[in-house]
Amino acid sequence: MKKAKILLGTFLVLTALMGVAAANGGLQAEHGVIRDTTTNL
Amino acid sequence: MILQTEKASEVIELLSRWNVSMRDRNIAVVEELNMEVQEQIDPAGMDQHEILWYSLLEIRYSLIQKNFDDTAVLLQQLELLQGQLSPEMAFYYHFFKGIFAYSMNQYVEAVACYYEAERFMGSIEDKIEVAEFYYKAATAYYHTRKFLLSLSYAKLAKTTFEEVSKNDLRSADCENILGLCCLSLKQYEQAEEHFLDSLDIAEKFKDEELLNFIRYNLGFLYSEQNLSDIAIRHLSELYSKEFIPHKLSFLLAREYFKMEDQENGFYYLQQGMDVCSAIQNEEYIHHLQILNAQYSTLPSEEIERIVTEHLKYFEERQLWGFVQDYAEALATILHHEKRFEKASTYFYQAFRAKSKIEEMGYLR
Repeated sequence: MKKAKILLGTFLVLTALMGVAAANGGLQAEHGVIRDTTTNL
Repeated sequence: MILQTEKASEVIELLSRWNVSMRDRNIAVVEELNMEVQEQIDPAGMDQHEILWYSLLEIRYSLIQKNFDDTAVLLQQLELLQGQLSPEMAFYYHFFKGIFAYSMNQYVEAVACYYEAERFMGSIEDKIEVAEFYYKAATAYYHTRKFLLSLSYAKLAKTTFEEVSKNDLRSADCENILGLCCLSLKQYEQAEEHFLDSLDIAEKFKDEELLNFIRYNLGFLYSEQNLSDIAIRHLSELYSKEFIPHKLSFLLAREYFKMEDQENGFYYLQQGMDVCSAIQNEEYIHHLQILNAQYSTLPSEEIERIVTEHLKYFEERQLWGFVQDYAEALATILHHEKRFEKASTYFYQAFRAKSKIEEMGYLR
């Protein structure tokens, strides 16, 4: 039941995101985090 | 910069001060000088040399402001005048273009721009700028999984920062990258040493932001070693601070699933979905969905269907590292199910993804 709910949630979220560029949070090619000082001044 | 001109005009002198304030991330001064620039500078009265510097600094300012639409337009305009740039200007042009590409999450493009910029490094006398460049290059190489290159640029950045500045926090930032590279190279003990060195400095300076970055990476380090209890302890502490919550939710869900704690696993999975929706982060939705499938009790055919569906996202964006990881994980599941032919297909897909990462090292 939980899985079905999550899958449905994903569909809705992905639909909402269509056409929206990766913005807040950003795309990261690794799970580690680096402080990006130049654009976070 | 400009700065190396023998007889600097008043305009150049003002632009130079503006540039230094942006280099040092001194926002109050950046804004103050921006006002001064807007009031005092009339592009119509400038010579070509001044206009080119002014255009470059407009790009830097738009990057700081995160006005990336402006950055794109300004870069396009300057591209037409590339032939007229001095070597010093060319360095800044490619450097800023790299920062822009990185901000757009185009890491391979960022690396290519930094590679171009480095050709003109000889003309840069400002060592702090050089150190910042090395730091940026290390960051881009990390995200393209070029860990040895990232390591070497992070070391160069750290040495250069230490030569010219007493600002230990920039050294601590470099230690963080060194830790991440060691982590990815599975040198866990060294990774921990780098993170702890960075943590010491961050604590000394009471830099809460950096402390959060390091605590997260320590949690990630323990997670990668399957030390779930200690990983969860580190990551949970950050959760209440809402620090990069989509990433935290992913790692926490993964650790709870590893411990076969389905309740908490699903809790953080759903939390991650909600956060991704709120901040419009599509990437982590795909990570979370694949995670969900990996730890489900669904038949392997269904797991395969879900994983391949979400894998497309990473392929389309050339995030080959994750394609490799997830194709390998799927192949392993199918191998255990004795679906050897299918398993072989995904092991080959992982191999191809790995080759793509290697190809990215052949700079154009």
